[in-house]
Amino acid sequence: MQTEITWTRNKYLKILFRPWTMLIVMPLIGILVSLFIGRYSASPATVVSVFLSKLLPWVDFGIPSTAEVALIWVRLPRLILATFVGMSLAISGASFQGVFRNPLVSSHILGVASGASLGAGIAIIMDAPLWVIQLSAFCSGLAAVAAAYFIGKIFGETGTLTIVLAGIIIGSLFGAALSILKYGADPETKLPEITFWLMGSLAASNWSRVTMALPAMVLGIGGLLSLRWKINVLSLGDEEAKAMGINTNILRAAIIICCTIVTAAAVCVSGVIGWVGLVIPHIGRMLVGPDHKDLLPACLALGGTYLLLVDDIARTIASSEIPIGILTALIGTPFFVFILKQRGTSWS
Amino acid sequence: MKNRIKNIFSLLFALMIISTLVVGISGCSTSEKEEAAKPTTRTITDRAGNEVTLPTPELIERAAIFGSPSTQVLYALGVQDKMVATSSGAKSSKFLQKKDPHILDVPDPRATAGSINVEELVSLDPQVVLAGGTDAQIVEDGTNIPVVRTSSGESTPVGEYINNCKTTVNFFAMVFGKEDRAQVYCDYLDNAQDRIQKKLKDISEDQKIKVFKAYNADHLTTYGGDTYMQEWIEAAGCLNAAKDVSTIGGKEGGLGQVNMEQVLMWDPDIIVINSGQPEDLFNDPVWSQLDAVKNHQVYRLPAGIFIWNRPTIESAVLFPQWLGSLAYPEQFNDFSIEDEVKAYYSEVLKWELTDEDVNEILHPE
Repeated sequence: MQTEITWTRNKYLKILFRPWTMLIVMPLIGILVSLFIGRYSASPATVVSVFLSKLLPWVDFGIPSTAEVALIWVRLPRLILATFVGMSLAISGASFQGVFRNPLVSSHILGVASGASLGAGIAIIMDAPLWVIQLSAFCSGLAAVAAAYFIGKIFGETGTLTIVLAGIIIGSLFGAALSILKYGADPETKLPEITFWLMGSLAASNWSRVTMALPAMVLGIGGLLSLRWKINVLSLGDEEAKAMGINTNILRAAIIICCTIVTAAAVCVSGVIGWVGLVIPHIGRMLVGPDHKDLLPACLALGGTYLLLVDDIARTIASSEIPIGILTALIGTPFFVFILKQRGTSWS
Repeated sequence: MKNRIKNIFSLLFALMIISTLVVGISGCSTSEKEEAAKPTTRTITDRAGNEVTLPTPELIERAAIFGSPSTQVLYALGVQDKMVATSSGAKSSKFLQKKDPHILDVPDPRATAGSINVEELVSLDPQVVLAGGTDAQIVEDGTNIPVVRTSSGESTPVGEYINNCKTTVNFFAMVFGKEDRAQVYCDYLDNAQDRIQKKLKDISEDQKIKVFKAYNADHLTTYGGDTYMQEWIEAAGCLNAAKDVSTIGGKEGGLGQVNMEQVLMWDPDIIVINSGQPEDLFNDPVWSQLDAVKNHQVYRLPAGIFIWNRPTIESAVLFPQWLGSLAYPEQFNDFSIEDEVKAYYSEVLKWELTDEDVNEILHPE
């Protein structure tokens, strides 16, 4: 037993060196580069001096206060949020694919997006302020997944397939409720607002959104990272996992809870952004293989960087924003076809 | 036995035919007499260029309309009692509910453009349906109710929306025989525009105030330069900060989303919101960087019979004056928007508003 653990550790250190480096370096480079891109035209010198002025508050750099606000209060929180939303969607997608042993599930499979959309829709109809819309989306997302999980449980112990089915059922149910809401919504005022929300956007990012969503995301991501060895066991199937002395039900529930928290937190600040949780895990597997202890950090790095770059396009290409959910779908779908064609790596 | 039943049936059948004939002939003869005196129908050319035969104006008692802007036109012409169908948007107007509670009893068989409950529409027995686009086509295909198209089907170019309001009112007036009321509206609109132009004749291009329409809960949705709003803002002698934004839906319905960096770049002088209250922006660390917020030039969009962010006949008259008086208080020093709202409702709709009514319109919620 002792030798086995040492063996695993050594292997982990050797192989994991790569994903961990990726995890830290890629998004950091992405954020650094993105800091210089945006609708508020600030010269690279201004950008540098704004951040220097924060590090050296006693030096006067003579920067206009609008530049400081645009960079520190608007651009920086958006970059951070884009990175963490991308990370959340990618890691929950990868975890779900492992737990449900299915390469076609994504972070939204258990109905969290439909749930959150309904919650946001109700709050928008009620003319609620922004933070209520977010909170309502978050809670409703959690509720949808809880409903799916318990419906799955009713159908028996066999687990994974029934939970996925229940997720699809709940997703459709909440989707139908949202359709009723949209149908009855005032087409001149409320309907466009719901539509914009559903297309996904990070345009309204600010520090209060960061402080609202980040704790939940960090918590969930931390939980998933600490469970990543065990996802491997689950992906072998229940029988074998049980033979190894693991309580599959508790483990699966724990992973689902973590995934749901991060996804709901992501959806409530950014709306529905598809195709990240599905495509990124596949790219990750092509790069580092199917082992979840490497795959999850790699997905964090890839997902965060990917959404950061796509959001750079969304926020700078025109004076009006391009909904980021449209961009991720436009980029993600052909890419997914390409990956499917390249399919050589196994997913489990 | 069988024969007797057969005979009775034949007898009944014969009676039925005779009675139908008698009623039919007498019916014909009376209507012929009336027709000689006065025609009951007439043929008009609608705005899409189709010929439609419909009852003469004085005989129209039940007309179905589907849109909120059209609902307003009926009120301006004083024929709102003939409305048997309206839009859900019009029914949700708090101000209208208060001034005319009857609106809540009018059914709304159209849920949204292209989705009409035809059976309910037929059960309302309208003599004429005034609609445009897909809605008109659905009614025409599914019923034999005369359909009058209220729009040409082509989108209105920016710069023509205010004129289009007059054309619309005149067209509805022709259908309902209310040309005199239409004239009142058109004169009122012309006077209002003259008034603004006189007041703002000395404002040069570089003195113009830059306005940003900050819609939705996040205040980051706006109408771009390709929408009717461009014309409304220009009519107030102001500049649209989001002129370069091309909106997804385009034209009158199109809204575009922008980001905060872009708004900081524009640095507008006036911000108009339609959600929340100005104080929210005063206390926001980012928004408070803008000159408009620092100077407390943030205003909530008024809502009369309908909220003023649509190209309606009400907003065509009142929005430019409202915005102009906020942007150029010196030039508008002898002007009171409260009195103007009262005057518009009094002259055009023949409604006398109280101070409380006016306050509800100008400061919703």
